[in-house]
Amino acid sequence: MHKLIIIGSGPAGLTAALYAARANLKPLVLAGLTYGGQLMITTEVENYPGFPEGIQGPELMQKMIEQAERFGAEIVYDDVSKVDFSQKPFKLWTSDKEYEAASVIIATGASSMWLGLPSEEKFRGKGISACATCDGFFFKEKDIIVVGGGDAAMEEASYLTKFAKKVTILNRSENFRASKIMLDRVKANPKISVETNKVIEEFLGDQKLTGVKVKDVVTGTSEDRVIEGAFIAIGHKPNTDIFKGQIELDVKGYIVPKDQTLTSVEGVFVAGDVRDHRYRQGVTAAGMGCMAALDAEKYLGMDHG
Amino acid sequence: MYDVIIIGGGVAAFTAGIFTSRRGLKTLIIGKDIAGQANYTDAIENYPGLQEVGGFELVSSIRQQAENFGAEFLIAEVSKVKAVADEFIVTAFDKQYKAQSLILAYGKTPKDLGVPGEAELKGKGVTYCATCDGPLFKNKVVAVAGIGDIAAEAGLICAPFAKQVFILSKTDRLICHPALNKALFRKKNVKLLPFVQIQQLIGEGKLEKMQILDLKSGHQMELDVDGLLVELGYVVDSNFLQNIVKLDEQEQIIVNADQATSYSGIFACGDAINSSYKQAVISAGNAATAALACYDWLMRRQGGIGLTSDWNQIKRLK
Repeated sequence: MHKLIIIGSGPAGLTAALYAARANLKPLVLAGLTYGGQLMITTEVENYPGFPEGIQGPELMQKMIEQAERFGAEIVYDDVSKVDFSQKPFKLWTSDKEYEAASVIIATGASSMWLGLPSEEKFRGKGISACATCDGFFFKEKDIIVVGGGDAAMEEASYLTKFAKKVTILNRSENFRASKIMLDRVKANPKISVETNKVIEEFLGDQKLTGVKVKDVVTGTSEDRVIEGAFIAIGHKPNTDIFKGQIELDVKGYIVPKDQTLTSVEGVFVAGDVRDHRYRQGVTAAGMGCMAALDAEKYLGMDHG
Repeated sequence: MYDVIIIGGGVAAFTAGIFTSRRGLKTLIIGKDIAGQANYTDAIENYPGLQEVGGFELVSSIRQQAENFGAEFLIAEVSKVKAVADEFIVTAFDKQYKAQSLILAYGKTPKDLGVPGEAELKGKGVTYCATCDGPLFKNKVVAVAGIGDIAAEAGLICAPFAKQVFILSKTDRLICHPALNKALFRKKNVKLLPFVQIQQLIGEGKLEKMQILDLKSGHQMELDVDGLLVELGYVVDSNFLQNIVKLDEQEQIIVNADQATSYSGIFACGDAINSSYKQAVISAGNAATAALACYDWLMRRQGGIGLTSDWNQIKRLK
């Protein structure tokens, strides 16, 4: 049996692993087949404190993996398919193995929702982003589009006007999910134009994004437009499918934290974007990962191990 | 007039500066020194992403990063903070600076034992953070001088690594939570030294031994140790705030989950807040939160758009 199993390998999971390993808990990290979290699809990270020159997302995650391993964390690159938190020890299953743990830290993160076009995948991190806070700075004086019709899209568009020359919001229908007040503010902003009934058919470019093919769903006509950046703001989805029925989730599927990193199940802790739908930064996730490890250490020290 | 003034000069202050200035807020950071708490540490090996880094080096690089995005930094000691109408006036070295919002990140200072030799041996075997330095005492003899649960926790952190852990007490026991007490003294390498008081710390370049007074017999004795963990708690010096924000009984700033204080427009982060976790990466994390929450507050006050979250949408849909 393991003292501690950490599910997930973004900044939250790996920071938890680093602290737990240093505290001699010999944590096992079930990192997932696509490991490293959302920073793996980010090119340059400018706002992770301690790297004044910036650092590539995958490079930062590689450093965190090495650091956790150096102190004795074991990392298994497999997805967790099922958990049972109803009794102790807790049970976790991957494709071919069953694990037992005295405590668990959930750090499975959230995923940005994407449009699902093949050309979108090609330009991710090369002009297409799902995080204005992370990447807005790179679009100084550029023409960009924001795809989406909710409050998040309005916020991203509004924020991006600090940097961009012009921001165009494309919404697929006549109706906006965004609140009226948010929509009115966006419409009043001279740097933003709002277009309805528009969908993206394809992203265009060679090495990086240079344009989009936009279809008007009412007239059925398509046109190519020149743009340098596209932000997909159609929401995030917490990665919590395997925890349904095992732990308390809110209506959107985020884990409900009790006190800091504690969850509805004693001995199961949570950190990172899987419980944070608001701030979602690499360093906020790392900070929470550290807290979760300290809480797990305390819990195991009180004879639950 | 600044959008935000950040008070402090450590990991939290400069991290907040990265996030406010990167959001386009005009930012002034006022700290009485650079690095604060991190200055006590030669080598930090648990800051994620950096294999090993000096405390001063880490803080300097975060400061550089904040300045790269346009934050200004001033070395000065803040003596007064005043709220006037819609703005805050910060007095530092008799000059006044105005801002629309404040982020408090002035940290804490660990309480000293107050014995001869302590100042010279700080960071050289004498430490005030068990989580940070406990693992460095592998196969060594360490002593814990402290009170309550924090002393017991420090002992529990060191026990898996150390050859021997002495828990020093002026009475016949360590007063702490019964479960912690049981867990601690069940460890084979943990031993209570009752009725003792440290008089002096001795060592050339690093801690070698302590002079101890036996309070029962009145005799002096020497104890060979490699490390001493001082766990007397922390002092957060919040006097200059003159109760503008609510503090807890240890003068730590009370914040909510968005790092907002009791006073609208003032946010707080880092070691000065009422959280039991005190680690560089945690300070950095909640500083980012404080900065983004501050941005949100400023934008909404100006009638603009702040931060939104998926969850807010759901709440409105319901």
